[in-house]
Amino acid sequence: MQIENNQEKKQKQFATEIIPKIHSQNLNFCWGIGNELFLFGGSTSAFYCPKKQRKEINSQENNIYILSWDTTNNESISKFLSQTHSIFVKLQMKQNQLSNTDTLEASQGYRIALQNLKQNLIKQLDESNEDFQLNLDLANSVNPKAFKDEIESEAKLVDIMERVFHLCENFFLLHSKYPSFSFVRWFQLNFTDQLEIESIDTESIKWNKICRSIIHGKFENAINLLAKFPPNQTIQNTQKILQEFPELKYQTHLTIYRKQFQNWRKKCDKIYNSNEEIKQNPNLSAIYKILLGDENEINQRTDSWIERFASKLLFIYPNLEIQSFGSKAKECFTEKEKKERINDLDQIYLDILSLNTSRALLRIYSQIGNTWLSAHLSDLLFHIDSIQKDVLPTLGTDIREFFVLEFCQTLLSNPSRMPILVDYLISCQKMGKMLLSEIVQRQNIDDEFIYKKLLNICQNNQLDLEYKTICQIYGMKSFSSHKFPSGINALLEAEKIEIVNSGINRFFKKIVSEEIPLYQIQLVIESLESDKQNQTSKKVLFLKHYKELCEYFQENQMDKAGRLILEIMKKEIAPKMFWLTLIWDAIVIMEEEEKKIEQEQFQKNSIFNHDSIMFFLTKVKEITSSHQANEYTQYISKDQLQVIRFNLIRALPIRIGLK
Amino acid sequence: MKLLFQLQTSHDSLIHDVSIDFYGKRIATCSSDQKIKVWEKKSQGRWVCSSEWKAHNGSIWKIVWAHPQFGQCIASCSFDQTVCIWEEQDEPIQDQKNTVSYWAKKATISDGQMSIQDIKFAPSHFGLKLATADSSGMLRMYEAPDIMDLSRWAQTHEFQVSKLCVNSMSWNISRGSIPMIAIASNDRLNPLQIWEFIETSRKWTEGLKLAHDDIVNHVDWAPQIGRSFHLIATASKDGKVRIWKLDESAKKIAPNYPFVCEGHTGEVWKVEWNITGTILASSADDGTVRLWRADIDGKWNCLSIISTENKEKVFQNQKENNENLQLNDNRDDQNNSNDNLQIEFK
Repeated sequence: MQIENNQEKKQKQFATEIIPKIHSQNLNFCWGIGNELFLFGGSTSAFYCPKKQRKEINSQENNIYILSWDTTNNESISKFLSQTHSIFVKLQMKQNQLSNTDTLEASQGYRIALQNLKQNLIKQLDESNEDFQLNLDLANSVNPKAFKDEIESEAKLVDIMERVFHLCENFFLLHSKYPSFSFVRWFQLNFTDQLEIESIDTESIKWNKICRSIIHGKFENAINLLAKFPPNQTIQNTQKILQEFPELKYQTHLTIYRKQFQNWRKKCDKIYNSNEEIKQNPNLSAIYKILLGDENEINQRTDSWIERFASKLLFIYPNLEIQSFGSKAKECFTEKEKKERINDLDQIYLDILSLNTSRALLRIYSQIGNTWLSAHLSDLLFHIDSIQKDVLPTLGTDIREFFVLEFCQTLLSNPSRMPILVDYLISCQKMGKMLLSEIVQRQNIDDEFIYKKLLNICQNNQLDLEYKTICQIYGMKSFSSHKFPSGINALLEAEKIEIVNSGINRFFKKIVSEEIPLYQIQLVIESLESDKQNQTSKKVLFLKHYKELCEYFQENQMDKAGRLILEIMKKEIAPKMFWLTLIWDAIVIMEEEEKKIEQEQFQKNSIFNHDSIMFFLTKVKEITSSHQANEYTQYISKDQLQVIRFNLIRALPIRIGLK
Repeated sequence: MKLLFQLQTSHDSLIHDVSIDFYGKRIATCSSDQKIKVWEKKSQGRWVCSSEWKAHNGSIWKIVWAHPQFGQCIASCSFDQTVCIWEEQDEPIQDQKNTVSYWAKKATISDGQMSIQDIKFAPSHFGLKLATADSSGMLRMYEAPDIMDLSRWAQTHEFQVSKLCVNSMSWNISRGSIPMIAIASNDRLNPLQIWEFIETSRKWTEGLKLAHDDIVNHVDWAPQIGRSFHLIATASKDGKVRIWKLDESAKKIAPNYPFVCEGHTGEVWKVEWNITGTILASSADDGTVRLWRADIDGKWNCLSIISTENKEKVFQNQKENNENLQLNDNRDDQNNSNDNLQIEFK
């Protein structure tokens, strides 16, 4: 199969037409997350835009065009990615205890997934022909024909991927000791069809089909095709010699096989040389020449180097050593083929046969451009030590990690791929971990569930800094939504005590400016009490007292409330922003007291005596003359402040003599 | 490349900047109509405007999001010589459990007397800090000591980096490095500079000198992501994109660098790295955006061209730029003994 010229393919894939009315001279952009690009027209030079220009601007030029090259959004591909992800993870888990069976299973699993993908794509194509509907709201540039072309192209690519995987599986895993057998089997499964003689076939076509079956090593098929001819001794002898061909099977001892092959060859030679009918019949002669390894005959009857090489492995050098595979395969190119450009896929096959897996992977990456294939194949070969493990100086990482990271890039743009992405990144050492830390942080924390999930990922991968960052982000988010307890918990977890203190101040501002249910205060107290280092103990104490104060007011226990106000103010537990509010509350209590004083019931048990009033006046002065006076007095009105002053001054003489 | 969505901003004038938030879920746009608009990504890739307000008294040049660990905060700079700090706040709706969010102006910074050309938040591990650059070549740094109170910003540093307009700045965001910033200006003699913060003297000083042929319109420092080297890209008036490779301490330029990415046929205005620092995008007056990526051998190839012209013209450009497309092509040696793909291992 030919891969279309890489340049043309890239041109078709990447050249995109934007709606023409965008101001082409000032095309600007910014990156999104993953493989998204935001394009917009506008002045990229930061100069003042004259009014005249502003009026002339077409409204379409103020559009933003969001592009992406996420190819994983297709449903079939999504399923495929999930399937192969499980196989990948299993391989990594068994890393140090991998047996040949495990790697073979993995390879076969990948191939089955590829085959399923191809079938699903074809099915998708059939369905789309009937009723074409897109999930996304795409612009005019995408149309059913383009979609169809894309699916067909994907299906072809999947075919190629499966063949490459199959070759590596056969060559390195399944029959690594029997490379000839590996290659022939691979060739038979991927490049040959079962040939049948049709009633309309001419004589030459019939014989041609028989020859082709023999060249492809499909002797059973050749025998069956010969049976369609009128039986005679020569035909029967030929069938017999085909039946006796010593096919190299798995676990056949090579020395034994060599002898078997030599004996068979001698027999074949004897039949050919002793039978005049065969020599005179050009078709039969061709068959025997092939069987005897006549290179000219084989070359004449084969169309491609792969076919040629497979035939030669069958009939000329069945015991070819693996080290010679590459050079022998190259010899199978005709002069004409050598003059033309060897296509990318053939180059990849040749690299694999030459055991240059690294180069093959590099070609897959650069020529085919499929990151899934290069990542998973390199990973598989890495586990069976069939790939270079050294660090590439230009990249700072080994080839396997490079390809896996490149594959991760394609997963980035789709948020639903995050769980898969994490596993691939974990399998890479240094750079994978760095990228993982970046990706984990960029997951939007919509709710507590996601928050906990991300923390879990960080804990499992020793991402301590990222753990704290995520806690801080969640904490800030909670604070902005006025969810103070969860915000405090998260910030304490992030060990950001200074932000916790600032956050509590924000909570204080909320308390002092609006009515907060007591249970909320209790929740905040509980959150703060989880601070093991007790760095917020003073604030916790105040909140406890404040809650207590609110309860006293609710229960109308004014004397207790009054005493508590004095206590928290004298002990400087209350933050300054509360002073005026507390003094206001104290004045309310004082008024109650004064009624009792008039009734001469309160003389012995007064809460607020002369000293207390003086204390309050001092505090009022301290607040109002402070450079932050505006900040502290913002929670009460100017009138209220005047009332406070007036009442305190008024209460002074009343309280003289009270203890 | 697929066009996913076309967002009609309805700005009344040219859009000068689009900034995406940390999660890729919101974007902020700013324009010569003096407004900022914030957009949110909804289901099926649709973007919806969630807020819009008049932010400045002049064209707004740049807009940036702070790291979410400092809350939802945006900074904008304008021709009106000010930088404004905005914070998203939630207000409960009366008698309802829901809240409504709005953007409140928390601070206005107006130290200079020139148009503020660029603003950038420092890497989050340095705290909530903001760098501003104006058209007189002055750079100022500000810090918010209390991230819960964004109304207070203290100027920490002020220094002249150029006698001419600073066009762009870019921080080195990798952890473990001292604070460093790359600056692009209109000064032909020294259009590209790296400044670094010296802890002992608590001052910013000019670091490694990067010689550049022409005015640099834009500079971007790539995220390091575990690599042992730094990459800095520049967009230049001479129509070229340059990539600088520096050692781990950003003190030395790697051999054979800067790499010049040729292809644009007009003044290059902007360069930006993707979040992994592996793909560089550039835009120019030729009406194209080009994407660049390094191959295994460290050579930067044009990965893609996005154009406003029709496809035929794109192919024409492609043919003209053929020599710049460094595809691994095995035309020469059919025997494959000296392949284009040479890998050197340690």
